[in-house]
Amino acid sequence: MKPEELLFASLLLGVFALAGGAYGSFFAIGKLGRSRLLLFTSRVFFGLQAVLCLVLLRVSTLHLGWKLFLVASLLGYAVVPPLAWSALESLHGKEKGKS
Amino acid sequence: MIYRSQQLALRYFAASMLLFGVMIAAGLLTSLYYLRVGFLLDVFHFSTAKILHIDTLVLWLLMGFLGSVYWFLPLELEREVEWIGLAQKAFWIFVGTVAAVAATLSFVQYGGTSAASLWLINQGRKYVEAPRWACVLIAAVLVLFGVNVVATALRARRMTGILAVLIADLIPLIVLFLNAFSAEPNMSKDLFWWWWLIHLWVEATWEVFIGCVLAWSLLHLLGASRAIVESWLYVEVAMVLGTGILGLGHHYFWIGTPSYWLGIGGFFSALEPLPLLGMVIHAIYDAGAHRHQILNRPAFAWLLAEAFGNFLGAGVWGFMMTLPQINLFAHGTQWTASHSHFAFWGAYGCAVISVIYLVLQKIRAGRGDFESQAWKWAFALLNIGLVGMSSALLIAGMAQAFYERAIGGSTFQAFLTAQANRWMTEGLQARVLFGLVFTLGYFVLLYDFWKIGKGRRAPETTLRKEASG
Ligand code: HEM
Ligand code: HEM
Ligand SMILES: [Fe+2]
Repeated sequence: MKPEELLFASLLLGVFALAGGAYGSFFAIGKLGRSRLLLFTSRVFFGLQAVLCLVLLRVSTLHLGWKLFLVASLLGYAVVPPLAWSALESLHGKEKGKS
Repeated sequence: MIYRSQQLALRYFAASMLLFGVMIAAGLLTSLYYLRVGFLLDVFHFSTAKILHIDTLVLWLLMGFLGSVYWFLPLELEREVEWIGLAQKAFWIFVGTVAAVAATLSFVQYGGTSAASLWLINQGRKYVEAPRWACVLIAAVLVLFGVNVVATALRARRMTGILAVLIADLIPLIVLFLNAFSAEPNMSKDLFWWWWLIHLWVEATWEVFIGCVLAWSLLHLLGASRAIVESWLYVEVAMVLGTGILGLGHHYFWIGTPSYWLGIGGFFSALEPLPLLGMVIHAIYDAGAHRHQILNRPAFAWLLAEAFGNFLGAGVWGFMMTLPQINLFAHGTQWTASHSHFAFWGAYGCAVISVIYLVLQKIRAGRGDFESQAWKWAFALLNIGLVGMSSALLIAGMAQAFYERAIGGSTFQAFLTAQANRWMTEGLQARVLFGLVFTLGYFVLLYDFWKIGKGRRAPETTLRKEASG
């Protein structure tokens, strides 16, 4: 490993998670406000996260297993916001149905 | 009038905020050692100052937690808490013990390698360093607290989902504290168990605990439906424990533990941000679904800050250094301290402040006006101060990992070189400046706690209804 790659890889990892958070947040706010622009923004952040994931595949600091793991966790980031959202909506829907 | 348990809660909140102030003072003091070589040399040790800082941290949060439960529990079960008289006495024992320990640490500081030092001065377990006699009393207070909760539920012959999760969580939470008593001479074994206390507190049992408290907050703050809040709590608890328990392995990389922990620890801990992201989604959903019911904006703002702070401080900052190849260099640097500050603040500090605002509204204004300028100032100053400190430490920590370890190969000379590096020295200076901003925010917060919602006191009768509604 080259020393510079330590900082590069860790910053990439940080921004990777950050982009996931931005994707989730914009997704939720966009759903709330029914705003196409915000939902589009959320997809841009997810795209950024995917690109960061690709860049991470190329850094030599991380072993192969971790790279595969990152790809898998990218899928996790992709599904958590919509899944959480629809779970919340169906819970609320049930509640409304009752009253 | 309100329940006696709720009066006790108010006392716990007051003690918590006082200790928060002591923690800040000790933090500022500790940060000065990094600015001047030989600061207070042979007068007051860095390690003692740091102990005061991080032990009061744990204490103000714990007291905030106890206060929250003593506040919500009688509302949940619609009756006074069992053995409340004993709990009220225990509060003074708790406070007296803390004061005595603070005095011991300030004036005696440390002792020789003898059993007497363990009993009277310091047990030496980072974050819970109090002497043994004090830890015995604190453990007793915690056990009594657990008994209060269980006995009240039994007496009421009622169990709710939130309460069941809380009770199940209190058992490991209290048992883990017994770790403070270990006196294991083998360092690897010692650290192995010590991490059970730290990690399984903050990334498992405390997360579940605060999940329960925030679930109650959502019921009382937004009038959210119990069925929804409870279902969501179960999902979150399952995800947090599913990733957090084995995430423990991210502390077993380099302390002499078997190498399979590299894989286990990296894998599970790197998944930990996902449930935290789920909580952010939930917070945003609630903000939208209950937009018209938000009558307590400060409490709600701090609740949102908790969701985002938990994700950022614990999730993002932790994720950055949780894979073994990164942690190899980041381990135990200012980088770690950066994450420590952000995560503790985001996950727990903000939550305690949110509950205090909720409670203040209930006891002061009923459903009347609960607004001020000051809360916004406090919110901004505290959060800017904290994010600034964490960022300054992140820069210092990355420089340290880079110059001392990646380039310097972790020699003593490399350690010294890194300490003198400009990124590092200036990062540590910037930390002090942002610390002062944070301190200012603390005073504004106290002022606001004192003032907000006063002057429009609702009549006694509605007060009672509000307090119990
Ligand atoms: C004025 C504000 C603060 C200042 C100046 C400050 C300063 C410091 C300093 C100098 C240390 C010692 C780091 C070392 O060993 O090199 C420290 C440790 C620590 N502080 Fe603070 N602090 C402040 C506020 C806070 C807050 C608000 C929290 C949490 C809510 C916090 C949590 C911690 C923790 C967990 C540690 C132990 C870190 C570790 O050893 O990894 N501090 N702080
Ligand atoms: C509320 C949640 C959290 C809190 C309060 C917290 C707090 C802390 C503290 C205080 C330390 C330093 C302990 C010490 O050495 O004295 C630490 C270390 C660490 N944390 Fe967290 N943490 C949280 C969540 C997370 C998460 C979710 C991750 C991973 C994604 C993580 C990754 C790490 C790692 C890798 C270390 C070890 C750093 C080193 O080797 O020096 N933490 N955490
Ligand atoms: Fe951990």
